[in-house]
Amino acid sequence: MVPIFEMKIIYSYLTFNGNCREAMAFYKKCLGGELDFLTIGESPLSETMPLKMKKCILQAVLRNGELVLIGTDMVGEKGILKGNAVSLALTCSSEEELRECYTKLSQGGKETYPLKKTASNILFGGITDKYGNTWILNYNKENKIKNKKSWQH
Amino acid sequence: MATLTPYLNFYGKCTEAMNFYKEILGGELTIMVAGDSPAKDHMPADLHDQVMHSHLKSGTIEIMGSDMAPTQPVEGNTVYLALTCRDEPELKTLFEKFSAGGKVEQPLQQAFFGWFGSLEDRFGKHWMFNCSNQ
Repeated sequence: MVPIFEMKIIYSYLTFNGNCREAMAFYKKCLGGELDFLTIGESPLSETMPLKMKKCILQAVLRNGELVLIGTDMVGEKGILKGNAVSLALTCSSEEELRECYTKLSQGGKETYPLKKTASNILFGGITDKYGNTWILNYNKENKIKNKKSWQH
Repeated sequence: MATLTPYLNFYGKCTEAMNFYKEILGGELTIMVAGDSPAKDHMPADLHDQVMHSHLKSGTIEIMGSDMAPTQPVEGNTVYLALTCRDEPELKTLFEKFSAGGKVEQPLQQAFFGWFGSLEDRFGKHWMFNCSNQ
C-alpha cells in the first residue's frame, strides 16, 4: 500500500508498462533496501480486473532508510508519455556511495551528465536509466560537515 | 544512505512554479539564479535570470527545481509526485489548490486503500494525492 505516515510527504511515483517488477528489482540492486510488491491479483481490485492483469503490479515500494521509491504498472487513460522534465535527485551521503549508485544505475542506460566535480566542489552526475527514467546524483562534502542537504547553497 | 527528492525542470517558469508550490505547501523556498551562481561567467547574459537551482522545504516535504536542463526538456507522465496527506480535509484542500489552472485526471474518490485523486498542474507536472481511510 501507499506508505501512510502521520506527516505530509511527497514521494516519487513511477509508472511502468508491465515491467514494474523488473525495473523495481533493478532499482533495489542499485540502491539497496527492501522491496515489497502488491499485484492486482492480491488486491481487493482483483475481481474487477481482467485475468491477464492479475500479475501486474498495483504498487511496489522500495525503502532504504529515508529513501522511498514507488512504482506501478497501472497506466492512465492517456497511456505512457515518456518525458525528462521530472528527475529523481539522489543526495548521497559519501563519494563512494555516489560512485557506486552512478555505476549501477547507468548500466544499460545513458550518461547524460558524466560524473564531475563542479566549481563549488560538488560531485554531480546525470543518467537516463535503461527504463527511461532520469536521475541526478549529488554529493557535497562540505555541506555534509555542516549537516546540510548537499543541494542547498 | 542516500535520500531521494523529486527534481522538476521548468523552461523559464521555475520561479513562478516554485512560488505556486510554496503558496500551497508553505515552507522555505530558496532560489539561486544563474547570475548569482559561481557558474555566472560561463553563462550567456540572457540566461542570468534563469533559475540554476531552487529548493522548497516544508516540514517533511521537499522538492527541487531548475530552469537548466542538459537536454531539451520533454514533459512526460510517468513520474508522478505522490503527495500523502494526513487526513481527508487536508487532501481536499490541497487537491483543489493544485488543480487551479491545471487539469484534473482522476477526481478525488474513495478506493479500498483510502482517498485518491490525480491531476496535471498548470506547469505540466503530474501529482497524485492520497490519504488513508480513517
